[in-house]
Amino acid sequence: MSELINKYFPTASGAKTVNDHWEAFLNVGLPDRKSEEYKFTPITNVIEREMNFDSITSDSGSDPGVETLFSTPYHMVFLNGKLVKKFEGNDIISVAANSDIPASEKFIPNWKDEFHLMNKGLEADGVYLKIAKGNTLEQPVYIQYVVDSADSQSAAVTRNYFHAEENSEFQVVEEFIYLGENASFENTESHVVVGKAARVRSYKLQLQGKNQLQVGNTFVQQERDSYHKNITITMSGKMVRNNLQIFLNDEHCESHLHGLYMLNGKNHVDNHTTVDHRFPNSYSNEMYKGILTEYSTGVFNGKIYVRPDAQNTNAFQSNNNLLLSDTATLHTKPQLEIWADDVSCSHGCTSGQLDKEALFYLRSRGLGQDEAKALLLKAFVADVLNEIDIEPIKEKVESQVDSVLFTK
Amino acid sequence: MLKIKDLHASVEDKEILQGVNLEVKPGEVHAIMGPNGSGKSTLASVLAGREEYEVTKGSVEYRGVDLLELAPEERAREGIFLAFQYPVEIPGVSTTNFLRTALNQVREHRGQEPMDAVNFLSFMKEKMKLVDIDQALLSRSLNEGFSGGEKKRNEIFQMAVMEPKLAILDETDSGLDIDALKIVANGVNSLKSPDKATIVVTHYQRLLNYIVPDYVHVIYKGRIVKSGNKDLALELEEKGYDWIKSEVDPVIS
Ligand SMILES: Nc1ncnc2c1ncn2[C@@H]1O[C@H](COP(=O)(O)OP(=O)(O)O)[C@@H](O)[C@H]1O
Ligand SMILES: [Mg+2]
Repeated sequence: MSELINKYFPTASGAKTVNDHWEAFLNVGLPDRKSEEYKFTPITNVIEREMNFDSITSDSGSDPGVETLFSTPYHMVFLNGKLVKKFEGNDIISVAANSDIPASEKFIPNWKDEFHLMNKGLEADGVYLKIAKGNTLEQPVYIQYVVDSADSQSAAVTRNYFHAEENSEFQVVEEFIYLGENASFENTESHVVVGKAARVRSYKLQLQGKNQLQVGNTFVQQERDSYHKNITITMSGKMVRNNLQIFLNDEHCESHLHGLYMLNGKNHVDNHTTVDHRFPNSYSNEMYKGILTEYSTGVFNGKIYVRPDAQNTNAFQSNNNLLLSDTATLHTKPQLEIWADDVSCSHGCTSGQLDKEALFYLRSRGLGQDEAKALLLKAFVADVLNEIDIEPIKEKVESQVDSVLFTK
Repeated sequence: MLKIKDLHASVEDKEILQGVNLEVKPGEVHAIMGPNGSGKSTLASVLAGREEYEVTKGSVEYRGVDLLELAPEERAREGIFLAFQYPVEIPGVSTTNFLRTALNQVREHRGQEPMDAVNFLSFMKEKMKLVDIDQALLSRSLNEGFSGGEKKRNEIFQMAVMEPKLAILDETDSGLDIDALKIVANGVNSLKSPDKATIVVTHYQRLLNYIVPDYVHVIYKGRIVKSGNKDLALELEEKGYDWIKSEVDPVIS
């Protein structure tokens, strides 16, 4: 057992000890080559090839003070999996450790993902935030996960819980930041409960970095009349897997899932999403867009389940891609499983190149080739960017769109 | 200003231009006419630098430089402007999105200061009046859902902003009613100056009542088979193209 901990996760890193669930993980292990779910993202191989967990030195750093995209009183920072900066709670938002979750909270779903089982079996730093009933948190919660691999490789495991109580509202921004060039591995989890008639908007941002390996699981449980919007933006990463699971656990839920990946070099990003319609009269809308160039790989898998009881479900999904080089690889797969009969579902995925006619038109007006491309790329991603309700994030991402044209 | 010599151009191994010769001097207006499919748009595209057309023979000299060596954007910066026969739709990009960048590229090339947003706006407003175009149209996705007339007016508007030395209008008149035609012609005429030249590609004589050409050329089967003054256009209007075809076909086949 300790061999496995040492292999997959050393005591020296963020996770200190295993718990009762570790055995369950050991019975399953990490996904192997035959895994259907990780078919196009051979993360286990890459971890074994790139990571040397023994080399990781235990560090007890303090807040590295990295640049922030915006300011908010609700700012938290993790460094290599350890919480190094947090904020005090108030009447609207309470702050507790993730170990203090009352038994009444039903955060943890029964989910088979190997990395989820691994995360569950490890002690991990993290918080339990709750927005009190009927309140709106005016400024977003902003969590920066900093991985510093400047001196040695780094590993981190985190687990955070967010609960918006009935009729409350808040936004949460999770940003992953990489310092240093050595490889790193993260297993990160976020659990969100959107209470009755509550409204939550969540963001997962990875805008830089080069050698990170990451598997992240986000679980969202929606209650009656609730609204949730997630935006996942990944610009970089040696291998990044975003798992996003939305459970619509009652009627009249509204859920939006939007994603953007813009990759060059040998970056590899995989978005696996699941929307589970379990009750009647809910709506989900998913739109992911990708721009791939050079030797990058993009994977999209979108599962929509419409359970037998979920009559009058409206579920939409699209995944559109631009392939700017013939050495880039795309795997896209919609997976709709519909048991109910009175439903309206649509899905579509496309991949294509930049419109040559449009490029020529813009160049004939004096725009340089790269400028013309950048303009068309911005137009391509605009409908995802327009979903970003926090202006500084939108501006930052927009300013980085054309960077995909130039190898980092 | 422009010297085209024995220009041959192909697309997908099909030779479309088969030896075009044409000289345009500053201040002149040349009309290029000809039946459908004779190569008018191909000539316009080759001059603007569209890459799918391969020049297999001949030369084009523009203001002393080898035009064929220049990328499309370099040609634009040197003062060439093509008003497209079929302006492309670009979802998510509006005219105002790219036009200031485009203009500033040209200005930089000419050694002028870039125009800031405020100055550009008033400059644009002036040009909008010229072609009677609405600002709302300029903020919409380019050509998406534009009527035929709006597309053409937008092309002329852009031309007015870019102030080219050599403007090439490819069938800007097709699909326009008489009022729109006058507006377009008025826009073109107001840009006339002794150091600028215009090539007007058209299928009909109608436009030439408003933009009076110094020369009229007829392209047929990829070469200029007849040149004359504005009377040639009237003659074509009256007699159609068949007499040209019957004159030329025996000679080239
Ligand atoms: N991109 C292209 N691919 C194939 N054929 C083309 C292409 N562009 C033009 N052609 C052909 O070349 C000929 C001349 O076309 P064009 O220059 O558009 O004529 P015009 O403008 O005089 O009507 C036509 O036979 C047309 O079908
Ligand atoms: Mg034509």
